Amino acid sequence: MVPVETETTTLEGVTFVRALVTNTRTTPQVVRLESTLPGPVWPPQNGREDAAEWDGAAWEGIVDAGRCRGVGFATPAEQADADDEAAMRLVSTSRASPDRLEGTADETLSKLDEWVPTNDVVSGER
Amino acid sequence: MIVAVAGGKGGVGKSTVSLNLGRALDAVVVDADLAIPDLPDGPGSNLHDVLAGRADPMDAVQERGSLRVVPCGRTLAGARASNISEFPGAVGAIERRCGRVVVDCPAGLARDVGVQLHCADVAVLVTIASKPALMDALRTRELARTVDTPVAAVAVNKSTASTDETVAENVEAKMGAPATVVEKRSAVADAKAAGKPVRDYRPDSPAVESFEVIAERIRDCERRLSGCVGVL
Repeated sequence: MVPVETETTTLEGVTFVRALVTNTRTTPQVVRLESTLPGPVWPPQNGREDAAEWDGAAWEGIVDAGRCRGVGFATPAEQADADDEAAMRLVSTSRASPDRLEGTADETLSKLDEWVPTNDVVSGER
Repeated sequence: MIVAVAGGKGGVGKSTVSLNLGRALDAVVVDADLAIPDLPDGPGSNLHDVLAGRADPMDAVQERGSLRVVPCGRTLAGARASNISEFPGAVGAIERRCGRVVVDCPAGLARDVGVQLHCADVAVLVTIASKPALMDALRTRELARTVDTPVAAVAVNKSTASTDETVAENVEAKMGAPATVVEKRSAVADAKAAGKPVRDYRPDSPAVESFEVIAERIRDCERRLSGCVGVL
């Protein structure tokens, strides 16, 4: 089982969606989640790029056996009825292959911190 | 052939190694530290201009004595305007025109270093024989591995003790790449301060030979790489 719990908060016309996905299986799983809300998805940003594991309105990531992970996004769309339907649904789960666990170069790059000038740029200018 | 000179820790001598490898390999040296550049800037376009889309990569290649360099700008605004995702295309364009490119990477393990390592054919790691520097070099090696760039050589730089040979042996065993000890010599530092490779400043310095060993290793990789074209 890979249960997904979601929670939404609406603030100033923006809906913030939080999801908690739990892997109760005994092997790492590749989990794909999708927004069920009608509007565009604003995934979290890592610097100038979308955060790792986001692809449009879908999130796909690896959840280790017995662990849970938090996922979240924002959207201008409003949920029709908060109790009606979860804001994210589980699209698929599959056992993570060893290659997948290793990750691709692009995945590695997207997970790195955005570069910023270090404090050294101002040292010596005081 | 694009060679990324990286190491994680600052102050270990990445720019010195880049400058000297650039001379030994007759390569264009790109100062890729967008925030704290090390190679002297001059009139004309620089890497900030290229990464902001304001200049053609080849327009930023400047002659400095026996070297060809792409300096980096000096302004914070220029650093902020730089789009690091333009880096592979820019360096690729220089490589196609000039043959070899040595990328002097910044310290740290943020995305700028990741992108630079990813677009390189091989990496050269620079460290000194101290625990923090060696740990950072190991982390850089791990990053290089995950972005599919092999480590061609490791320079154990600024060596002052004979025990550094043992350090180099351990580095070789741990990192799986040949390690070369580069002795700390005033000629190397003086040449760097003058913006010159040590070969042009003091050709009889033993450091010239050390840099040549690393350069030869890179030429080996290049020969192997060109032999693999069509096979990979």
